[in-house]
Amino acid sequence: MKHNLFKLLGRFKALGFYLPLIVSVSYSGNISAIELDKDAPPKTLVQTIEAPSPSIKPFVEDSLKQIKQGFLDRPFVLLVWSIDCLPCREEFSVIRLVKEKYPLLNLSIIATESFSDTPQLSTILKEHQLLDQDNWAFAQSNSAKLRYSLDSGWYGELPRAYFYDAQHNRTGVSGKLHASQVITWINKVSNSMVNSSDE
Amino acid sequence: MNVRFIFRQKRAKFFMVLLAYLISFVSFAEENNLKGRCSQADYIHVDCGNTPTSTFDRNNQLWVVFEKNGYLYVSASLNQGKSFSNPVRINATPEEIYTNGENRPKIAFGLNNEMYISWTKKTKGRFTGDIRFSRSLDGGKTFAEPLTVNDDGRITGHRFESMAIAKDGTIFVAWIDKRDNKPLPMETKKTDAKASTAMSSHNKMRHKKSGHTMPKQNGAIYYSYSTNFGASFHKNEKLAPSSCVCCRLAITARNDNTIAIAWRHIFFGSIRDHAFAIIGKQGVLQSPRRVSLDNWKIEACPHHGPSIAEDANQQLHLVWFTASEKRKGIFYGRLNAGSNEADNLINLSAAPSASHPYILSNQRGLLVVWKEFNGEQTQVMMVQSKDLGKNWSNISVLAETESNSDHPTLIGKGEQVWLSWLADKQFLIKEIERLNEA
Repeated sequence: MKHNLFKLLGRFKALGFYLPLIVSVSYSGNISAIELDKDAPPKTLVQTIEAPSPSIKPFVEDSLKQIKQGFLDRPFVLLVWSIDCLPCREEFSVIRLVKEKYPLLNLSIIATESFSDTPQLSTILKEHQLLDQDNWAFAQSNSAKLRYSLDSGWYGELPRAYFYDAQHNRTGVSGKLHASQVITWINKVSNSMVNSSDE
Repeated sequence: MNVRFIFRQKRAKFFMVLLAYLISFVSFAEENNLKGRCSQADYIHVDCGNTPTSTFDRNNQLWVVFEKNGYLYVSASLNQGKSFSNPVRINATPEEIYTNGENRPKIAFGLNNEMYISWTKKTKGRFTGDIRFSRSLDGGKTFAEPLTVNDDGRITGHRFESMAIAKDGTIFVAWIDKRDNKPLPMETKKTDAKASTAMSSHNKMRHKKSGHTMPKQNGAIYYSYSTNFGASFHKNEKLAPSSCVCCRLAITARNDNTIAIAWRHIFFGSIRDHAFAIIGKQGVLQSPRRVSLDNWKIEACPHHGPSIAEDANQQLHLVWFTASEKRKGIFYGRLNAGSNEADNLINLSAAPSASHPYILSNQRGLLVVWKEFNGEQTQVMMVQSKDLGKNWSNISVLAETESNSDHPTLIGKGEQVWLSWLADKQFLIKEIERLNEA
């Protein structure tokens, strides 16, 4: 009897696991048009998904593909963090400040914690005003496999960030990002988009 | 006659197939049964516990400490891990206990087989904790009320404790301590105004320079010891400032009754390389020295602490992980008294997934294990050295899993060495075959 009850609970747990995935897949935000204005400040050159769903999605083996799909032809920054990583929180403070200055900066944020830690993850992301970004959390029992799917050459140190250009060529950076690094990158991708539109 | 023989052969084959089927069915059912039972809150077993950590006692009996539902338990095995005794609860009141590969409960035995358990209890706020300790003087039947080893009374980071029993039975506990930092905005603190202003001028300066919105939160290495079989601990002592805050400490008891400690230090310019020191009841006997000039400049949590062991000649052997421009992967180095940097530096593995090395030394040489992920499986790799680290064997695979796994550790029993590893929610104790003695 007790065993059956656990089984039943397990099924509901499974539903709870997939529900946010179904919700996030069915969501279709408006993607703003690309505005390549040479005189405009760089921030207008980095597009974003409008009003993303404030939820954390389960990151599985092919989720990176899905993330890239979400930022098709657009540059974005991918941040990887964990609850037990103090520099990650410090990085969040930096990113929030940059985001205030460049609100259209595209971000995708992956927590290496288990998806079941969503309440705690949400609290931290909310504190740093990053819960409304494209958030993910590891959702497979083998975290080594997920780390590998993200980057087979990464040693696992956190925070880890990837700067993706519009063609989705990426540069990986380990350690806490500084505002100047992110702003330099924003200027770089903005300029390259301006130049490519000139050609 | 021939027909009967063929019939007998067929019948034997049939029974063999049936037997194989039954064995596989029983083991499958047993595995599923175990997983089912593990999901039950009231089922306590080493396979269902978090971060099982093992050692052999003075009588060569295997013991494992593990956590479940806020309680720590110990279980013994008389048959090298094939089965375990009924778990005995250590803390009567549940606590939030850190259970991850880097920060896990420890178990050690005193000279008269007193059982000592240490762990880090999560306290209110983030990145905080208390160092806890309990003992059993009746062979694991009952445990003393846990005591808190850190004596500053602050709710701040006291975490990643390590424990070693000195040659004379003194219990040493060392940990990463943030009592000297300015509290974080979200950090809960007791009414300790003095402590809240105790941030070092060095840290203040760095904070101002970097312009960060959060104060620098480096750790420091603190330690304490007990000379009364764990009934109480001496005043906390500071060993070193500016340590990394998320990597386990390596600790080992030395033959001369001292204790060697190694940790990931933060050197000037956010360089996270390793340092080591020698302590004893007299205090700091050898002040911190830099082990490796890897120059890993990173403002990050590597979650990767070192491991240390001493050989019969009192040489120390260290294994660690780094990912600097100069060196990447798992490294081994030998520490000689008086020398600053480790010599005989060897890159044991440069694989990107190589992680969490652990070293053990005994009469037959040195053994190192670590984990690697090959895209499909996590494997425990091993190398051995019979000449105190000069030459190493080829890498061999000790165990593997396609599921999540804990950090591998090694435990010794005389000349025998055993791998202790939790993989796919199953606790594995495996004797390691040694290289043929040449």
